[in-house]
Amino acid sequence: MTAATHVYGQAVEKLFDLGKADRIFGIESDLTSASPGSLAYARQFAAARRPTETGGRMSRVYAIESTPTLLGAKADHRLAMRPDEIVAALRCLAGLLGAGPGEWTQAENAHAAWLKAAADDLNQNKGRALLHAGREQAVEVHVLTDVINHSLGAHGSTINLIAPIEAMPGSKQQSISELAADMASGKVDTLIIIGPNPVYDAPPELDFAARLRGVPFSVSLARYDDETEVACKWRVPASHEYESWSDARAFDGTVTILQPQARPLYGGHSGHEILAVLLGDSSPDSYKLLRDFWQQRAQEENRGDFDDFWHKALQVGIVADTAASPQSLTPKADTITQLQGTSAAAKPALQALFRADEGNWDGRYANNPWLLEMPRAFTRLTWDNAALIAPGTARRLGLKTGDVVEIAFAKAKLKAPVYVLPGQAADCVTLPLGWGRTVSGLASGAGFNAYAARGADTAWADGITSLTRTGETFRLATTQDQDRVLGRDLVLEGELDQFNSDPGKIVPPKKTESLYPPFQYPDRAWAMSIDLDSCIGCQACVVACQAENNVPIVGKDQVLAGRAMHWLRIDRYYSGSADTPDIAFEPMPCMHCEQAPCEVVCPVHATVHDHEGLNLMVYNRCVGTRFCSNNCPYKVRRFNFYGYANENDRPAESWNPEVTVRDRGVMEKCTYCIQRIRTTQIDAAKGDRKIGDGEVRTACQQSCPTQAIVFGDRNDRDSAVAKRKASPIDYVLLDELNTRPRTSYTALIRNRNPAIKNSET
Amino acid sequence: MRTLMLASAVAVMALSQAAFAQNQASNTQAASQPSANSGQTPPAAQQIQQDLKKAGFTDVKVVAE
Repeated sequence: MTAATHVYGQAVEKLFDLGKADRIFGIESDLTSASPGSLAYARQFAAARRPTETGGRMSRVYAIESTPTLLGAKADHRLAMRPDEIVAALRCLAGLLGAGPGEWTQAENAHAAWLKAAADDLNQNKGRALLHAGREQAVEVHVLTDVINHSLGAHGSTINLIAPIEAMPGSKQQSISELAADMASGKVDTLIIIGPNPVYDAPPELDFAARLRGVPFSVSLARYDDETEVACKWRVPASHEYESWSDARAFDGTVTILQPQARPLYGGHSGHEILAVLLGDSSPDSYKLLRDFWQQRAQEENRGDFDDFWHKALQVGIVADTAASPQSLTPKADTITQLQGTSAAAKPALQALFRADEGNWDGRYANNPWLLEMPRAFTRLTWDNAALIAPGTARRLGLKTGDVVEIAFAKAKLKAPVYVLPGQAADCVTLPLGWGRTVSGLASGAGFNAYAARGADTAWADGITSLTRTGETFRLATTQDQDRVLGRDLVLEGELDQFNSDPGKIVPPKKTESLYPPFQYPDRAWAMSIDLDSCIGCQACVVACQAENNVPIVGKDQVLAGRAMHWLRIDRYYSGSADTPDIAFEPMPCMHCEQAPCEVVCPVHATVHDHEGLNLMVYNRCVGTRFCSNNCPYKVRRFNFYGYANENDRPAESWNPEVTVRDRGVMEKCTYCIQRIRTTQIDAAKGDRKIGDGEVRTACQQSCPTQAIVFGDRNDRDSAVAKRKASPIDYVLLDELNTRPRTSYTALIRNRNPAIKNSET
Repeated sequence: MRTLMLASAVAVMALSQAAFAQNQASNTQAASQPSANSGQTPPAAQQIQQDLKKAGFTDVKVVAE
């Protein structure tokens, strides 16, 4: 039974309004990272946490989780705890808030004071608070979360309940188990698989591959070669979403019509077309199928002239009035009493947590080299997954990063390299899914397949029967120890009350002394501002920059050699204790210093300044001395040790034609997306007009879901970037070097609860 | 492909993608409608089943992973 059925007696989904939530309590929450609507939620979340723009107000975030999440990293108070402790903590919280029996508060709890302070805070913010539990949490956690939300008056204010958007809500594990049973008993003589890859990710006890081979007629519609396709009798190439007409519903129910951007490059077909073939249409056309469907639907709904309706839907991008309406539901009276009879499950000494990978997700994106080489937010790992273990647990077990361990479960075992991760809960081992593919191009053989140990009844957590060192070691390609800028105060942070009373204590006054007169930029002065409060560490900007600027993939061996080419990296910082650290993310592009240390050491003037303050690279002049990289205090320059771009096996269409593809021996770095600046300048010149604020958007800025990055003309006092830079907590990195960076940062502000001791945060 | 049409039992496995999006305005999936958990198939999957049965398939099952 799902939590919603338990609480409301029917399937429902939730819409959150983080803009209204002054208090957010995340239970290993993926609200701003992976849940449906996460982009919208991330934007709301960040907007409510920029005290420079909200008159000194910001939301307060609590997090309890077994493995670090992006929301947990932004929490003002975070506790790392085992899954069984999470249930106990929520029961205690429910008791404290009157949503559960008072005896739940009597149970011994190491975090009782913390929970009491959080409960008081939530209670004082009724109607302006919400709890959110991640999808991996147990049904009881979700039930408790719903009940507490109801008691806090969240429903109808910060949370709206709507009818399910998902086409088939309910247990996926159950449905695939039933299919496997049907295959085993010979009931299935034809199996059409549209999209998924069950041979790779179905629970191992289902023995899906063998059962699939026993089906007389099987077809897989897949975009790439995968494990399921290989096991099927027939394969059909699938088209990409950008290659076919379709429609979809957003997290709030809004319908959008998907328009193709190109004809199928490799003769792919959509799921609609395959279904149409099954229905007897021998030459289906996805556009016609879609249009006919909506013509009928528009007629049923009396939407007037169809051509008007259709063209408007295409032009606007959505079908009007299709968002789901909020429902008024209350938890069933016996919701809590049903929980009271249950007791906590036995606590295994070590517990495995199965979690989707940040890049590969469930394995479906394992063929995307950008995502394979994207450093993960916390581990900074590329090209591999690892068993994530808390520092204390690693010490107790005598493990260090790179040790290979054998992890045994009741019915399976696997070998994995260890990564010691601060902020991980004690005795919990996180095993990222989506790796260990055997039929997937670039990802084949990368990482280990955690699905091999993931049973149908233990989808998200399982007890580990033994964890032993094998004596082997494995080199993990993490970028965390590269580009180090040690011993320097790069992340400035302070408390909200400090910001409101004396922001000068957070960011000391700037020093602008120089023996030389400053260079004047009378026309435009391009500049960037990055808000550390808003950055959630999602890495979207890193990949967007890579796509926009033709940044090549270098492969694991080159990452190990410290040669990753990302023009923009997101540094991850810990402070406090290793077990429950405060976490901060700091995007690091080129600073475009007005007094750039890189320029003065270049013997061939390959890196120079322009009249608008851009620190340019002239690739044809570069002879590869790497002096500039050596002299850059921010470590943001990248060198082509090999002809990486030429070695990347990718179609010509995938390169951005507006950006030079660099060759071997050439230095490169962030250009502030100069191709976009120049295009806009030319357009403005043609129109004999000035460039408007916001007209030039860098790729990182454009992709940032939280608007952490702002770019524009600093000389324009009304520009967004000038306003951000006027903030009292705006600062530049390594100000003491007097490099005068054009990229500046807004200091990180935390909104601590005074009732919670700092030692517990 | 006509051979397919004659198949006596078909199991169609679809991801979360419906054949066509359900429109909330005329939604058959409103609060009063049965949910998956009440043992009835929701409309998108049901529609696929019905269409395939009309086309001659029998014992069709739609599975989501």
